[in-house]
Amino acid sequence: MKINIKNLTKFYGIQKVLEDINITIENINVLGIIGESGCGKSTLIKQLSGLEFSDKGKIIINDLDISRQNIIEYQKKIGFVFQNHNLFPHLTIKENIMLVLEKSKGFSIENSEEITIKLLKRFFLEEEKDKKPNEISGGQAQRASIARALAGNPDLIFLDEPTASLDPLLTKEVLGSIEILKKLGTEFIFITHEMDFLKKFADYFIFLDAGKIVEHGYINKLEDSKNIKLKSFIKNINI
Amino acid sequence: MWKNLNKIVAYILTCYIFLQIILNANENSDYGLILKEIPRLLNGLGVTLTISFITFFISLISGFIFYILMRSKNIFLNTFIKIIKEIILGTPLIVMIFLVVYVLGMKINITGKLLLGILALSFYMTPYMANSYETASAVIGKDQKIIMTLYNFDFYTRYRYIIIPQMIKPLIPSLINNLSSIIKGTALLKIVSVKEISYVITVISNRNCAAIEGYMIMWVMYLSITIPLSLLANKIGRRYNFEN
Amino acid sequence: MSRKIKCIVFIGLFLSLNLLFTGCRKENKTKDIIRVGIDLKYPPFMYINNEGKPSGLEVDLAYAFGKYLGKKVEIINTDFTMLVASLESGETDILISDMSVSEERKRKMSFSKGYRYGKTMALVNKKFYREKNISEKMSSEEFFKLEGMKCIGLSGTIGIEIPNRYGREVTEATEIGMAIGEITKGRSNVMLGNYAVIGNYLANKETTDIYLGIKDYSISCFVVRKGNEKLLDKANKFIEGLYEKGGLYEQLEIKYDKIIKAYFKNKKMGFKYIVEKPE
Repeated sequence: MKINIKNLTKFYGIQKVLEDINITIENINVLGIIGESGCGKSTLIKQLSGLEFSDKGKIIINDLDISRQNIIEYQKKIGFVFQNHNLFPHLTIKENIMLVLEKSKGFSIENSEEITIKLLKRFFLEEEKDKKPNEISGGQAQRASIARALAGNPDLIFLDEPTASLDPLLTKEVLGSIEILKKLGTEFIFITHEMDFLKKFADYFIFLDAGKIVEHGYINKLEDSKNIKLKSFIKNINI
Repeated sequence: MWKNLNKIVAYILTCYIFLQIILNANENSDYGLILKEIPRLLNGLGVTLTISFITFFISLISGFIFYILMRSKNIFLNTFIKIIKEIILGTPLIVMIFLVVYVLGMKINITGKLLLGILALSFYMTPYMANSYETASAVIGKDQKIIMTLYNFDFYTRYRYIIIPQMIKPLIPSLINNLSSIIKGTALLKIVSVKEISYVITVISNRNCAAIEGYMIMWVMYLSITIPLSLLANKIGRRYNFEN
Repeated sequence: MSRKIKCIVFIGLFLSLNLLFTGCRKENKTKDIIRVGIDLKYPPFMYINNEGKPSGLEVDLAYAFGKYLGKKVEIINTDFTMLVASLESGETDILISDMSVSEERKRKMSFSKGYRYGKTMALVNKKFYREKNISEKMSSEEFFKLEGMKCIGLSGTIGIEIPNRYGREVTEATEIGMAIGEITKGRSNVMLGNYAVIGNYLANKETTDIYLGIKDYSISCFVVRKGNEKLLDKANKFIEGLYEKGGLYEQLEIKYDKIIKAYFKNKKMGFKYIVEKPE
């Protein structure tokens, strides 16, 4: 993927959440965004996925300017996995995925069903297909959410702390599913606190602090960084 | 065992109090003066029920339209509807009936009081219905809205598959409440001589100088509709809970 | 122990509620006060003056009756439709509110001798009045035979009874305001009532007219609860006294004659017009 951000600024009311973000990255598959709580990572990922508009600046992803336009076209080819699975609570996980395929991606009912079953199988959820999100475990729900994000074969998937609300066992389960996807060639932009996963999965990282990019680089540079804030962050996480 | 005994005692006590009020409201009560006109009373009951249900269905729809308009992105529509809502909510039903029958009715040249009465009651109830939808839709969290935006669901898909199915359960008690308000509201239509329960009883009791007996019977008649309705609502509410 | 206390509290509540509904009223024995129910919405006969005090013919009669009985008078302003209820419940002891006697009413209450007589008038929609060439020369029978007549009347009054007697159907209205609206707008064209109808006509001269040819008249009396023979007896004696030479009516005529003529806007309708029995 190719990411080009120029002078990106975002306010929530009078509070400046992102300040003058400038970065150009090319030829990577997986980007990891890290930082303390409140540093603006969730906001950044929302700007990058088109869920929110910036107040100033430009965002160009894969040569498409999504600063304040082209959003619908862009969102047709992306997927998003939230910290809380965000599945529709009144529908079964099968219905959740089929609805997206039918109404958003334009597949027929038969095709939707076929694709959905395949997706559920891949994530070992076939037996739970007729269950509602509150009838399955958090890990299963999150896997279902990832399956939904894959509906329609997106080129780029965003994950906003996908395992933050899961216990270590379920975390492992979900991260395992995500790793499988990398092999399929899908590209990712994600936020996480799981450092091991970050090191294994990401090609490139961005470290944010108080709305600014303080450090960024290829993943092998993470440990060697001389940046005080980043070092302190890693140390705290690993405790 | 104690639980049932307590329940039974509660029932008996309230029935006793109720009967005491009715039988002692008046010395020399002569309920026969009113009860001899049972056919007319039953007729009035029928009219009340008919008006109530027609009004209920009209306001269900108009309330929904109001609700959608209240959330419109168009600032003009949005503001316009909100002001209208405040005006209607602040208008007492008795005034609304007058406005619709004597002001609107004259302008659009309709004289049928039954029709105008239903119209007045429907106008009156529209914002209450809209508020019911509004409260019920709070069930849909922000998260779901984000997903619907992300996947670019159109209006029909949003409402038909996501919003309305989830709104139904919290909506039902609210709607039943509104229906109860409508039923009690029909009592005011007597001022335009619509032959519902309160009009029929007022006329009969005026003829026989039996105002107190009239009001007691009116009380019983309205309760005979609203109490079963409430029980029905509870039953439906329980069934929905089991399904989930 | 606490369960026993609960039971006692319960039973206590129960008994006191019982008393509330059955016992209370028997306490209301009139001592030195007589409570008179009047509907104070009809100037110049029964109304509230600029100082907020009850005034008018009926009010004067009420105070005079109190004096006659040797009791203080408390006037209870009550809407016409609730007068009977107030009498039955004991809130009032007697009604002096231009209430006319009828067979249905006699079943529930006792009426004294007549102290006022009311001619029946009809408020007629002006267009209908002109179309049918209505005038005082027309007899009641002819009047009620008019084609296309749509009668409306206030529920429970002569507005319903009299047209029915002449064989006409009447729409019953529960609100006088709405009924008058129907006449002025032409949706109904005839409304019968007592003298108060004149006030409605004068307020709507462009759209209504008055027909005075109805022979039926009403007799207004003092009204007491059934069985209250003592009070009824006194009322009758009082009313007889009103008409006697030197009686109260002579003084009241001086006070009210001009006012009443001004009210009817007719020099022939003065005090005598309302207290004397029509021939």
